[in-house]
Amino acid sequence: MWDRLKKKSQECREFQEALENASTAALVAAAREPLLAALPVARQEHAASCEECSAAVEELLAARVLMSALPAHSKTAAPWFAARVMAAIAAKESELRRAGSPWAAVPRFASRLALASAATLLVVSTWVYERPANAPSKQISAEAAPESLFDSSQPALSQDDVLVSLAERAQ
Amino acid sequence: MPRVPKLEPVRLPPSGEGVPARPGKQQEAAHDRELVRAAQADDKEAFEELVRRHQHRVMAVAGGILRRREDAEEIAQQVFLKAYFSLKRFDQRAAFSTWLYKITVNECWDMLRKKKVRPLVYESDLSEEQAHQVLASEEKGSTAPDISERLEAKQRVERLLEGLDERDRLMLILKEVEGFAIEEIAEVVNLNANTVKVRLFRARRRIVALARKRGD
Repeated sequence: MWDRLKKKSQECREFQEALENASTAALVAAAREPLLAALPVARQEHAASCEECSAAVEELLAARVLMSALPAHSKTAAPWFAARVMAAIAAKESELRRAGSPWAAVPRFASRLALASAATLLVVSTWVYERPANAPSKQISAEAAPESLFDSSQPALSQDDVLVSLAERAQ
Repeated sequence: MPRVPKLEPVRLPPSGEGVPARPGKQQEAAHDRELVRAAQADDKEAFEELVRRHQHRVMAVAGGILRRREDAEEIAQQVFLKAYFSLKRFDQRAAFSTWLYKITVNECWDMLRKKKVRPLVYESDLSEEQAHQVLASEEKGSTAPDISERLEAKQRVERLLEGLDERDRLMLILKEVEGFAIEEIAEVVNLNANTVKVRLFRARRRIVALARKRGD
């Protein structure tokens, strides 16, 4: 009993495989007879005796009828498709070439460059503006300062100067 | 009452209608290898030839995932651009077609992630011209063009396909709509051929059961 079942399932599997191969090769896809005719005789006999495999044939044909409602996209490739691809490649290549040149960095850093220039300009202009305003105020503060007993304009002698002047005196 | 599409026998050539016939896979792969070598040496014509040879299949895979012609075309272009700029790194250990399919699948999932939509959207695959025809026929109340019927049938099938796992859905579309061979589907979904056969068998069973349940 078990052996018979095992044998049957093996035959069914072989039938299904043969059916799959035949379905690729069969010219008339949605008709039972030509499809079965494409199978080896042993498989045809099996289909006649096995309900499950006979149903499998029907299912294959029904699925084909259903699927025939879908359009095949392989047919829709336009004749100029290859030319369009090559044009896109050429455009991409020139874009990459442009990206490789040193001037290509300029637009990339343009915004940062503009920002840095603006900041530098601001700092320099502030400094330039503040400079003449500070100079007279220093002069005024020097004039306004009280007179000292010591002449502050003369720089203080350093220790070296003192030693040098002593040496000169000794000579 | 819902309109039922006409069920007519579908004629499919051995390798699929929309897909150019493939004489010998090994021969093709050898030719691809030559073209890839030439393209790696900056021969643009060789690359253009590769595009021409594979555009239908790339479109089919992209269309199988995205289900919109415009998206499929956009992705197909991106795939070839990506392939061109990474071609020097491609060591030809795998077939060029396998490599291309992988890029296609990845690009499609990226697009879906970015758009945050499900692979099946109920949008028309009709061109603008066809859409105008549908509108015009509706306005006139004409009986002639069955575009709206076809559109309805298409949407019904897409709804049914939503009941399948994403990979099973892609396999079924590639097999039954685009006419891919089992080995090619195996390349696309990165499974072995026997697994593809078993999963296709189950996917068909499921979609037919769903259709019967919904009364389509």
